[in-house]
Amino acid sequence: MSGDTAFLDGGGEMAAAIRGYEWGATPLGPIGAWPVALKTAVGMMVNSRFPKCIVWGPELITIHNDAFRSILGDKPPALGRPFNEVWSEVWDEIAPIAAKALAGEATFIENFPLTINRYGHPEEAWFTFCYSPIRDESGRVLGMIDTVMETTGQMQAERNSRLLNTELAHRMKNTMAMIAAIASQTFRSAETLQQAQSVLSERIATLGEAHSLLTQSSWSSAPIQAVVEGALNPHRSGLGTLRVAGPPLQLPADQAMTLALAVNELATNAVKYGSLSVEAGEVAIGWTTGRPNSDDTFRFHWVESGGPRVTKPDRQGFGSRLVERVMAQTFHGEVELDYRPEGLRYVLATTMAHIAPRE
Amino acid sequence: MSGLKPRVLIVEDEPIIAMMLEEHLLDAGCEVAGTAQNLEKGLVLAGATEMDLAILDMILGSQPSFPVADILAARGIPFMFASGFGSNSLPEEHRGQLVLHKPFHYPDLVRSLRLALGSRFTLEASV
Repeated sequence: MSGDTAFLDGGGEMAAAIRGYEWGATPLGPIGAWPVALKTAVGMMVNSRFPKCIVWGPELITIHNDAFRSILGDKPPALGRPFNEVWSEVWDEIAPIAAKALAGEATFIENFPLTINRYGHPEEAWFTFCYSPIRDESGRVLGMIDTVMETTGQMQAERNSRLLNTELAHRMKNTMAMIAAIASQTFRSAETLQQAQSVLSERIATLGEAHSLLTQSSWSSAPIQAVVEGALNPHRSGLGTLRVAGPPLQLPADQAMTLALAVNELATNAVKYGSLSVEAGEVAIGWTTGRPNSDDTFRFHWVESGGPRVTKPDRQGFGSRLVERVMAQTFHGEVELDYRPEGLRYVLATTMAHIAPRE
Repeated sequence: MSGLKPRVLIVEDEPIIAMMLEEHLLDAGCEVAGTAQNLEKGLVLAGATEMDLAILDMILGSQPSFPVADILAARGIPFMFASGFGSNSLPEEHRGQLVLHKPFHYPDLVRSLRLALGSRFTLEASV
């Protein structure tokens, strides 16, 4: 008996399964009586580590190796069953390729997309495969062998990188449009060209800093502490004291960039006219949070004290509109900007539900 | 019509860009009929605001502004899209619309305003 199936030696679990299968009940007949061409082909196949499958005779009886099981997934056992039944969901697409092989012509196809069902649901998968005819000594085609590599992972990775590329191109455009808008408004409200230049480069540097933080998280969010510190850093002049305190919180991209720009404006103003222009001045910067996605309040404050007496500026520039209108809109909340004589007080309040990516 | 200022609605989700548009429109001799920051408000303003023209950011958050365009088209109000993408991302029914390519500059805006408003208004803006 084992002499009959010695051609399966070394063929792993599927060789054992083939050995034990009741072939007498199939069109192939008892295994000992198989044609030499079939035995040789099956022997080579079960000893290959490439996923392979032999399809034999007019009934397309399937015999596969161990490696082919990953292609089949949780499909019912394919051994001994017609190939067109095993792959019934894609048979319309692969039948012509199989017919070609059985007519004596091999086909090689790369990254062929098929919607298969092997885990109880339709699934998009890609395969690089070759269907080759198997001939007997006289040259008659008796079956074919399918050698296949699944390329689904690779194709999905390529698709993801194309998507990511499109997304980055989109963000780049947005950033350009935003910088153009900031530049336009900076020049418009500046008093001198020199002032416009220095204010604009500070604003762009602030955006750049926020960008770096966002890049670390693939642009999804940035920690508020780092956003605030990043925008404050260039203004740590030495005069006055900055205190920053608040619980950890992730800010979505547009809110992170807007908060960075607003903090830069507040700090610029404080260094020039406010608490950071004198030794005894102090700025308390902080925020309070609540449960995520709830009606709990999120509040950000910037409170100055110990600086020169404050008066309300008579002209509203781009900086104050950034701090008021842009912040209120981006956080879907309310802003209070109070020019108290003892020090500027700025508060942004919104709900935690609004600390979320823009839909 | 001379002496009358064209009233322009802005639908733009990025407040910094909306503010620039407002300034540019005022500089160009227009009035701002309203500013909508999202699709919801855009739909309301498009249906209820008296205006001569609208500028629509093509994507608001992640939603296209085409429903706003549909309302304007039904009211016979001219509009243009502002977009970082080309005009081939426009659906069939808006294929012929004017597209202001982002990032745009004041002269681009004035040129597009003149095209969109046609002979109904004379803009005093200098380019």
